[in-house]
Amino acid sequence: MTGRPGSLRHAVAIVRRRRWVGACAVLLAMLALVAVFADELASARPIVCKLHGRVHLLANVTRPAELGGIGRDRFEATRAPGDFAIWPLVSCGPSTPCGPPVARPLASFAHPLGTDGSGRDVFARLVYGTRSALAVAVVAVVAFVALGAALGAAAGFFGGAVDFAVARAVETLSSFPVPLLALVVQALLPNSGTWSLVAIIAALRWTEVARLVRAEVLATEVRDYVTAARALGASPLRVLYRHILPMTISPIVVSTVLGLGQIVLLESALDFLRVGLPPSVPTWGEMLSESREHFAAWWLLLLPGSLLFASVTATNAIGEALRDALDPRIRT
Amino acid sequence: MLRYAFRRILWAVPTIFGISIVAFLVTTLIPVPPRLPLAELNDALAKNPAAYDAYLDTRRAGAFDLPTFFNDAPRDVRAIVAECVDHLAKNDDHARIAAHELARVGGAAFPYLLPTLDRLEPSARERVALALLPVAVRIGEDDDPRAHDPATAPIFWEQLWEDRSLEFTAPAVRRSVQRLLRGATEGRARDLIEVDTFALPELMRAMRDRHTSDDGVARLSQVASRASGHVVVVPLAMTPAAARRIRADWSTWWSTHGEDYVALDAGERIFASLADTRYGKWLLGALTGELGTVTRDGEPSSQKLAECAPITTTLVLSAMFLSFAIAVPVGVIGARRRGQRVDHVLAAVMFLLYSLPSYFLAEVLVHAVGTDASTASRVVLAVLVMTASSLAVLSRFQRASMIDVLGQDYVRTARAKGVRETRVLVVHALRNAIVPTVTLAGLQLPFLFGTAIVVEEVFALPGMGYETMRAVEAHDATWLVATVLVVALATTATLLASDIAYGFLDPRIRERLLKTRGVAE
Repeated sequence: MTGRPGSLRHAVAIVRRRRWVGACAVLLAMLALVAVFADELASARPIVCKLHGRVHLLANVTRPAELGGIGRDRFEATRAPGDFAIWPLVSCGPSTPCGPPVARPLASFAHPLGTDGSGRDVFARLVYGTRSALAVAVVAVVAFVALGAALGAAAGFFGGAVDFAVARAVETLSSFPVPLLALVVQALLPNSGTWSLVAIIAALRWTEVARLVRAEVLATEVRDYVTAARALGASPLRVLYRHILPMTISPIVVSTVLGLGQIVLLESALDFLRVGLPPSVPTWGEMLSESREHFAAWWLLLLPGSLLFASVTATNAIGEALRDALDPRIRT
Repeated sequence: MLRYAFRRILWAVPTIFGISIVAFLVTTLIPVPPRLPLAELNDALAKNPAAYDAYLDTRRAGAFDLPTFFNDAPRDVRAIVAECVDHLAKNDDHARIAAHELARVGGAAFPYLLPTLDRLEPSARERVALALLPVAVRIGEDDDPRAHDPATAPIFWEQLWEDRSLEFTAPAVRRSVQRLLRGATEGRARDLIEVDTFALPELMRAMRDRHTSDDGVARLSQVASRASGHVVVVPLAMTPAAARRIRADWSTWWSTHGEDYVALDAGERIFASLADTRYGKWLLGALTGELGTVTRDGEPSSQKLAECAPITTTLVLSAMFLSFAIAVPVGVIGARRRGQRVDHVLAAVMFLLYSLPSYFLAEVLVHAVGTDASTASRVVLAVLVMTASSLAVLSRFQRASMIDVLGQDYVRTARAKGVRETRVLVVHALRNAIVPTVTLAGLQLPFLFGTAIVVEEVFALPGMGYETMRAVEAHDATWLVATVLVVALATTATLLASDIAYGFLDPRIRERLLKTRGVAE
């Protein structure tokens, strides 16, 4: 049961047989786990601890006020008999320095990937950078795919003035280099931050999805079963929702997967130029831009860079494998 | 063919309009400074009229007080006169500002103000007449004691209008301007000074005229400065460069202040309701090539663009050329050896290059060669990085179109005839297969520009991207908007050119375009 050729199920079945796609999926899943459990991997607060007779569960997530910014050293110094703590893999947060402000390479057990120029733990920054990259990418992709699908479907289904307006908007936005426009808007907005970044990306990237969905809607609309549904008295919206939109799922899935990698790339480039997420948020791009100031510290350049490269490669590989399986004409 | 090109160009019009709207919307992101409350304005005017004028000028320069897209009641000199006289007659909170405004508008208001003076209440008439005292100073009539006395000022102005109303006509002013251009004498300049701001429209027209000599521009500028209060420095020895600067200065001033000195007729009113808006003012500025001044060093952005654009264009075009030079052979080899090891290896390499973040690659290269590498080597590396990122799309496209063509009957015929394989590939197949790839050039342009920003920043090449980052640091909105606009227009032009070229090469494209209604494929 693998579905008919050209269907999404068929494509997924083809793609799953490829071993390297599996490897990419595993890599992405691991990154997602890292992003979700960032607090358990690196935090200045213990996961579970008993201090002065009180037990704190998941202190790394809830951040109780009475613990303050307690570090491992302070805890050891102030502990009473019977107190205990279970620490994350690295007991160091991403933003506070936990050592002298010197970049140290693969230093010790406490800082497995070394520290950066301000003495912050590189492992912790990479982990939280994964979280910010994936979070922005997922939210922005959902936003721009939804926007593009809605506008593309409307353009294809209603035609006429709607189609004209959407087509002109697509053409206009495709004339701008997305990084340039995103950079300028983000730089000029008086209170730019995470949400403005997501909004800008969504507003600039929906065009491709809209184009694909519109083409699919136009191709589906003339099929016999749609005519049949209309002849049976289905309302236009029902035809759109039940009979046409399900057919656009394939381009939407492909755009979503490919979009993830592209957004991670775009977002990290903006962070690299210091106009992306606010400076308080650790990101791969910001780490890379910091590596410019510490020329000899190769690990500050290569670690975030290869993580970025790996995640973009993985999403691109899966996305393109899906696209090729859906449309055998492109890669014969 | 001509019809096709014409249709394609016509379709670019809405796109260009859309681009201008997007770029304009970017300018509106800059927060508008809040308006001072009336009491504070009155205060500022009483204490320091020059500071008050400067405040108004900054608001006008940014067109902050105009509606965004449509002005349902565009202001002209008639509206200003009616408004000011109304406030002065009521003697309300606005009266002080109205008096100042009336004095600023000056002679241009006379034809709508002086004949109606006797219809006003006596006290209102006195206030209006007294408000005009600064105008009397400007036109050199302040030695008449009647102008200073509230009781006699209305009589003074009524008399002045009786004597001089014939001078307040456009033809009379035009003749005076022409006389002044023929040679400067005290008397000729005084003719214009006497009509005060009423001469401004004609002065501006003469200044825009290409036949006006540089010395003529200087003379016009002096007269206009006296009437309008807008000071433009005129050097003693005129040079063509100084004349250009003076002309540009006045044209900027007129574009923000001109509507105060002219009366609109019905047709002009419709135009003004579109032009007297923030978008209209911005668009007119952009169309005349005045993208404003760069705030951080006072250099016009158009000049700065002319300095950095060649660097970026060189990078982008070299990268594009190089990626075509590599991608086309790679695509051909991939298609020829389809499914074999070479094909897989090439595809994998292209794929990895595509996924490699360009700024990461650039950063690694900078680490490899060091920051003090020569400019030439940095340029070469920048081009290589930009090429690497755009190769994959082109080579894959080339491979697909080549596979398509290699399956055609005429290629089989050529092979059957015993044509050598290289000749089949290059002469028969590639000639057709390369056309769709070349049309991708237009789509590659925005992508390469986007890459150029980061790459220039990493390699410290002073192109548009590098300047843009400096502008971001300095919050220099003018430059940012100018860059966005120029790059988008360049892209549209390239797309247009490549579409027309495509249509020229492939008649099927022409037919499809002429049949459909211009909806994006």
